[in-house]
Amino acid sequence: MDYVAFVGTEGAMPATAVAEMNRDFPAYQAEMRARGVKRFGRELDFPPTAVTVRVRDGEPLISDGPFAETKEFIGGFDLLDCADLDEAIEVESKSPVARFLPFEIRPFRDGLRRGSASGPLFLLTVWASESPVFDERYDAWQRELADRGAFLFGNALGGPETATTLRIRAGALELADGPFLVLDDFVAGLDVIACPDRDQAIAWAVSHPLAQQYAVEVRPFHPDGPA
Amino acid sequence: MTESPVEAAFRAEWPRVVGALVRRTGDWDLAEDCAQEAFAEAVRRWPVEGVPLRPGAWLTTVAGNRAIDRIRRAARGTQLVAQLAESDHASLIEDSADDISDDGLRLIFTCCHPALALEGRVALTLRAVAGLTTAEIARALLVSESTMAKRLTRTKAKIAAAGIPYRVPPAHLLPERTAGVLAVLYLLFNEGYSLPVRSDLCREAIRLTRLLADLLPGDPEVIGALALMILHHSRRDARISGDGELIALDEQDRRRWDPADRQEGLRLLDSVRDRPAGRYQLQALIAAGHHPTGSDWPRIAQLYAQLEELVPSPVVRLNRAVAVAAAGDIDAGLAIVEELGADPRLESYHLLPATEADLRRRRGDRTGAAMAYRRAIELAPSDIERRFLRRRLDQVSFDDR
Repeated sequence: MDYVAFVGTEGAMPATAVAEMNRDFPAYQAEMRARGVKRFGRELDFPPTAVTVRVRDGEPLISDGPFAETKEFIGGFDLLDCADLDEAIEVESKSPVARFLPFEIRPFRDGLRRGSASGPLFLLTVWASESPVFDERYDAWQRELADRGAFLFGNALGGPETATTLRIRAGALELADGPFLVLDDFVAGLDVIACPDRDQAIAWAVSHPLAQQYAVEVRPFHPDGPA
Repeated sequence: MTESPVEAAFRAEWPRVVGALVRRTGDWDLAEDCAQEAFAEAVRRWPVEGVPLRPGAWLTTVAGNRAIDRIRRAARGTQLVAQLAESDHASLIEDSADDISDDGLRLIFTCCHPALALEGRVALTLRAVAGLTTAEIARALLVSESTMAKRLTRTKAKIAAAGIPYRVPPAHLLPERTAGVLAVLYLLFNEGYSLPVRSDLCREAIRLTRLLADLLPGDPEVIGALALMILHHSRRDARISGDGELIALDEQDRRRWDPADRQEGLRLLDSVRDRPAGRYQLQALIAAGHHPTGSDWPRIAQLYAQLEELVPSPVVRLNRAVAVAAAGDIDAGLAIVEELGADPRLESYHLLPATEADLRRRRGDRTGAAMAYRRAIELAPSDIERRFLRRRLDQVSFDDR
């Protein structure tokens, strides 16, 4: 099964934590890549770099900043290909990041679609207050991205009712039903696309069929983040 | 009251029948419905045809056939039908004993998966493992039937959507997950044990823990939890007064404790006495330390100290203070209570000032006791507890005539 594991953060981490994560991350990364359970993992740029796109009556409405202004936000994510939730939990509980930050694990509703792309990456997230229908217009939008060599992966996610939050407290694993951020709206789907610049990523968000009813947030990845 | 063969089979076989169907179809609703139908058919046929040699296998086969019918009728999952039909001939009846006992275990562990909300775990365990209907569970847990139906649906939906595996956890997860199952069963027991007392729920929790003990033979914590529940349950007739109020342990007529239950609890504890003592075993030993003829407070105080090392909780520490004082050292007990006064986790816990009041009363400090009783009354969560504390307050306030 395909899962996303969002990292929840409140901003910059203490230097000692960063040093510990940097020290232990390569070995962890190598182990999980070798097992074939972790397909992608990147840190996102901070929320002020985000742009939120809505299209209403055919008019694009573009606002600077993230969809949700919250103290805790999604700081990055991993893409997992695991046998089941237990394996996804095991993979993330071993992450050096989990010693400091919570993970929210959610399944892709209908599996993950993959393409191939190169260039600067952007994360497009659909924010909705209900689980939207990702219909054939969405499929066509993804195909167009793929035809232009801009589609890396993406699809609809299970809603917050399918989420599991994982924390390590005093060395012990704690699991909870539900997301770490409880808001009226949630990330209902995501796509990672490659574009030469932010404006083109915004243009793709404008043409996202779900931007007509919901909101699509565009966020760049952290420039120094590990690939 | 003797159970009919169908009732006996229902109690013993329900989780295995449901478990086998969940294993084969992955569909919890289908599994429950077909298990229900199989038992309904047993009610009709067994009195006429006689009880089959292997009731569990009979029920699983009938339920499996119902499942195939339903899937066919729904005209979906042709592959699943083929798979089921095949297993019907080859292995439905010939499932190995291990498979069958594992069906019960798989079901319990999946219902109690830590990625499910606790209230969902409790509800689904009662439905899928204990075989209670939605209406019965709603009544037992004091919520409306529609709320309970939603909770069950949501829990089952998460299992499917989030990919919670249907299996007995692998060895490295087993101790942790077993502890999770015991937490659910003990919560269930406590729900029935607290006001309003629902003894059916207590009995159900004991029955499920017994089932778990059969499935994981020799596990000292499972046996410890079973002993703990049985020992508490042995006091059921002595702890409620005629007008439905709780009677504190030191005021109970201990002759009314159930001697057979007590014996079983002690026997269970004896069977694991050479094993490392976990939290349930220690709590059960504490319960056993309250004899029908009196309480062995020095021993209980020592067991609480051991428990506190294992479970560093302020509530355990408070209980230790009570035991230390009861063992004769009131000042030492009071010192622990005063230390706990600084713990923010107990800020609104009424039993802290209630205990302080009790200890001051016993030292003859009526003014201090009265003040602490008043604080406890302010924090008490229920009328019954407030009434109990007011009685005690009246005793220290008016006794000095």
